[in-house]
Amino acid sequence: MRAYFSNIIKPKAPIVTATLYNPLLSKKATVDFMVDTGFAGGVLISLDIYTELDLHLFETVKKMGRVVTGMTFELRASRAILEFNGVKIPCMAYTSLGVSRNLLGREVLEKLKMTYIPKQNVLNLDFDP
Amino acid sequence: MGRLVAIKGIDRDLYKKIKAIASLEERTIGSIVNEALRLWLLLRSDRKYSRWLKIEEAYRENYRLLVKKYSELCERYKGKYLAICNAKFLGVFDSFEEAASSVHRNCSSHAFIIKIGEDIREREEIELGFPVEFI
Repeated sequence: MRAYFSNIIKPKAPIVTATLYNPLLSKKATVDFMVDTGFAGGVLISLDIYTELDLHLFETVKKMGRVVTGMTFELRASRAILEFNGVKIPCMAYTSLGVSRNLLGREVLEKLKMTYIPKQNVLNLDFDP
Repeated sequence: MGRLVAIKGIDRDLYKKIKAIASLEERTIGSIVNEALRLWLLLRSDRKYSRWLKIEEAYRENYRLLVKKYSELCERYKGKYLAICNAKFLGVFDSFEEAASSVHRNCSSHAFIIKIGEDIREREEIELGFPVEFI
């Protein structure tokens, strides 16, 4: 797992590189996630990553995603497993057509300790058992 | 005969032109709209869209079956895991992992693994915050 700030996005964004697996651990992908405390779910990923991991084969019923402006849209939802510093964290993975940025949400963040000091470029995430 | 669909926000001038062309070619406006929609889909038919549509179609078939039989299943198998694919029940399993293994061996287009008893209405909201970026 690698945590860093991306300067491509303004203001700079906290990014975590982690490995995402399907529930059987038979497929995996290395994904750059933007840490997003506004996202209540586990991870939001692009459809490419979702299908690459075969998550469409482990789905539950669709959920409704709601952004702060109140707009809603359908989200596909599946169980997945995120690997963080060697620790595997089960979480829900969501996708929708056109999602282009991968997000790491509060369902995962509540299991971690995070130090966030952007002025000093400090972003540390550790598993909090 | 297709079903009746009302669409808001159609450009009136564009509609008049289409109506004139339809009349000249002795076609219905519906057939022209269908042709236009097919063309639009073709223009956007990269692999991602067609993959999405394929999964979506299979999802709908599986969901219809799930809704139809769910209350019956809840009475008999509450707490177990139900797997559905190809619009058929694959089985009821004691654990998610067993259900997932079976799905992995037997399914390709789309599959559900549902813990029997959980809410299956497509209404649970997930707060997405801001921003969410789309292509």
